[in-house]
Amino acid sequence: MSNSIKQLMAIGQQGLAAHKSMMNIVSRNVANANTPGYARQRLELVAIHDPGLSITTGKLETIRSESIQRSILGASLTYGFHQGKTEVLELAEPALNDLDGSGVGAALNGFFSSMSTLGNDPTGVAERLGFMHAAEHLGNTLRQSAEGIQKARLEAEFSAQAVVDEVNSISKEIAKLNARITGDSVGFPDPQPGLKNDRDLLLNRLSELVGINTVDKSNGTVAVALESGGPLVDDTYSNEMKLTGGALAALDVEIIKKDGSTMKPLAKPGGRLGGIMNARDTVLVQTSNQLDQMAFGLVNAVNSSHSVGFGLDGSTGNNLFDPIGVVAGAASKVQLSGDVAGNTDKIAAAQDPTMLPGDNANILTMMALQDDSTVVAGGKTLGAAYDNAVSILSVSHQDAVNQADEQNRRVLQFKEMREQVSGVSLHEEMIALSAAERAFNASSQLVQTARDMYDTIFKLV
Amino acid sequence: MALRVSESQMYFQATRDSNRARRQLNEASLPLTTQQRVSRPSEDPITANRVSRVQRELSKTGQYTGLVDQVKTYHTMVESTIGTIGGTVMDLQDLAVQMASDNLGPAERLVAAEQVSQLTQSLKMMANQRQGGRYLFAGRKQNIPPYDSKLLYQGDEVGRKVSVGDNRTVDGDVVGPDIFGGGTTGLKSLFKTAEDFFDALKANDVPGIQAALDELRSGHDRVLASHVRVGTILTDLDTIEQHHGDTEMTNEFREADLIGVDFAQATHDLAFSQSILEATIKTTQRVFDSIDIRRFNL
Repeated sequence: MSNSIKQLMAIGQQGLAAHKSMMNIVSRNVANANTPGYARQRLELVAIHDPGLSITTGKLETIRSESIQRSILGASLTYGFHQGKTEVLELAEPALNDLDGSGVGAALNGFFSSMSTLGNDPTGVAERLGFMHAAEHLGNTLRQSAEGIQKARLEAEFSAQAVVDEVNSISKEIAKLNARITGDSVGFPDPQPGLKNDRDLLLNRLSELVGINTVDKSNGTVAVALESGGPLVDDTYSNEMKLTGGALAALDVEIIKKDGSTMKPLAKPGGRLGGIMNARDTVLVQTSNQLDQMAFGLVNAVNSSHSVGFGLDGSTGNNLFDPIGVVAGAASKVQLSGDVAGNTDKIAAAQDPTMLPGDNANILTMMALQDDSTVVAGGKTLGAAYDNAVSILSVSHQDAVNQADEQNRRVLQFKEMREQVSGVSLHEEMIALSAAERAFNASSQLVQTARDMYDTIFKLV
Repeated sequence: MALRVSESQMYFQATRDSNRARRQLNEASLPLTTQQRVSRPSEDPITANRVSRVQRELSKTGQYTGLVDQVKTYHTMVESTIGTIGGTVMDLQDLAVQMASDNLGPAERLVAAEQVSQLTQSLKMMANQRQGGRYLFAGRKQNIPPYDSKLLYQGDEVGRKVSVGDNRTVDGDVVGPDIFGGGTTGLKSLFKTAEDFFDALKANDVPGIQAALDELRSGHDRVLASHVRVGTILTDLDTIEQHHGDTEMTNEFREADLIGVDFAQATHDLAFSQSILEATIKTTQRVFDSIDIRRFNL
């Protein structure tokens, strides 16, 4: 009989312990209801059929879906790429935006417009001043646009460095978490169930930043490598990523391994860093090249015509713009030539020096340049070449914005799916808490009953 | 349909939905605040490209329109002056007809010579007339009067060409020899004719007066021909101006179509996105209120 009472008390105690553990898990879930990336936990209760035993706590399960996690990583990678690209191109766009009535296109129109006014009256002082200012304004605007693009490229370099710094910081964190998960770290002997959640969040972020491949190892650690090749984390140590190139050169990365050796990935990284590099070293370079082609064509064609004409003072051989020898960087060098700056009499409107001051034939020749499709290499007029530069930038920007938007929707959908599966529902937890509380109370009643039974027996003795 | 709804999922959805609604509101407000349907090329690269081309066309049409206007002003002035010149030459011609008559004597011819002198002075003044700082009949050579004190032409005999349309130029100048002869045309100038007429009158030389009359008739024909030519240029310019006006209007409509704001649509879009944002906020609030965990009492 005493054996049975003892058994009753033990069963009650086991129930108390099991449901207390269950309430602990519920409280942990509730506390982390709003923790980003937290995966809820469920404690398995196991019935035991051995005589004298009733229940015990089984496996502590973290509710997560690996396939959703992989989908988030993939979508984050693409989203990061287009988002990075968008950020850089957004900075460059104001340099080539004529829709507000300013910009190179408007300055070019103003240049030819003032040229036309001068053509009607080559003797007019106001007409000459107007033309000189329009030429100066065109040069200023071209230089500002070129500088705007270069500034965006420089900002992109800073952004790329910031991404690389973050990648290195995250890699270190993942290596530390690997150590804590395996218990292979002094001070963190017991792996915590939430550590994998933290690591997942870091992996998501890393994927968005550079694009990664991960391998889950049997010891619980995760190995991380760039999708383009190059190990970032292995077991409990991380490698250093280093940004190379910069200034006029294209950006790239290399991996500095634990032994100090360096390794170059097979391709450029993906993710946000890849998007920044693509925008900086492909789109902006193409845009800049086209603007340079346009500026080079403008300066050479105008100077060719201007230098054979005659100024009011009879001078000839004067350039309107400072000559530019090479296409590269031409847009950033366009400025009024010292031959004419400050002296409107040097503007060569005439072709016949004996017909000064009213000859406008040279102006007519220069005016024809606005429709001349041989002025810019590739058979483009000046206006078409500028439009082309704007289109290269705006089409890429629009595409990046749309793609980022689309990929962001995908990322959000996958994250929502993850929250459906892994997120904490307070109502569920309240129900679980109530269930555990009732069972806990009932178990305590069992213990009390067993004690009462002992008391009754002791009184009989 | 979600199998289960977690707390973070609800916050996540609420954040996403309100962000989306706020973004839509911001996008809907932009056309009204910027007065443009497209304010950045990346919003619509094709439209931005078309706008650029239209603006270039508008700029060119503006250049041409300005030039047409200025050339018209010049030719209108020339037309009026040629009309006066024609009248003066006609007066000389009438005088020559009268003075060629055998019924008149030397005294009358001396009086007529004085009239010829005055009319010649008047012609000279008109030949060296300036308009807006430019000599009307000097062509490109604007630094000296076209006719010197001996009434010899020292100006340009070609004149400016002015670009008034794509591949379209018109004469920007009517040069002195076109009206008065002389220069390198090989034609006797009206001034020389008038001088010979003056001399013939003073010398009471009837055959000389008759010869001057013939030359004055020929000179008047030349003046008339110039008048007709200027009239033709003005008619051409009117046609070109009309064409540019039509082109400009068409391009302005195109530009307005491309980037102009449809205020009715924009106002509707703004009101609609405001409603969406309000609905999103209220819905979120009601959902959160209804699932308030403090009501949970099992």
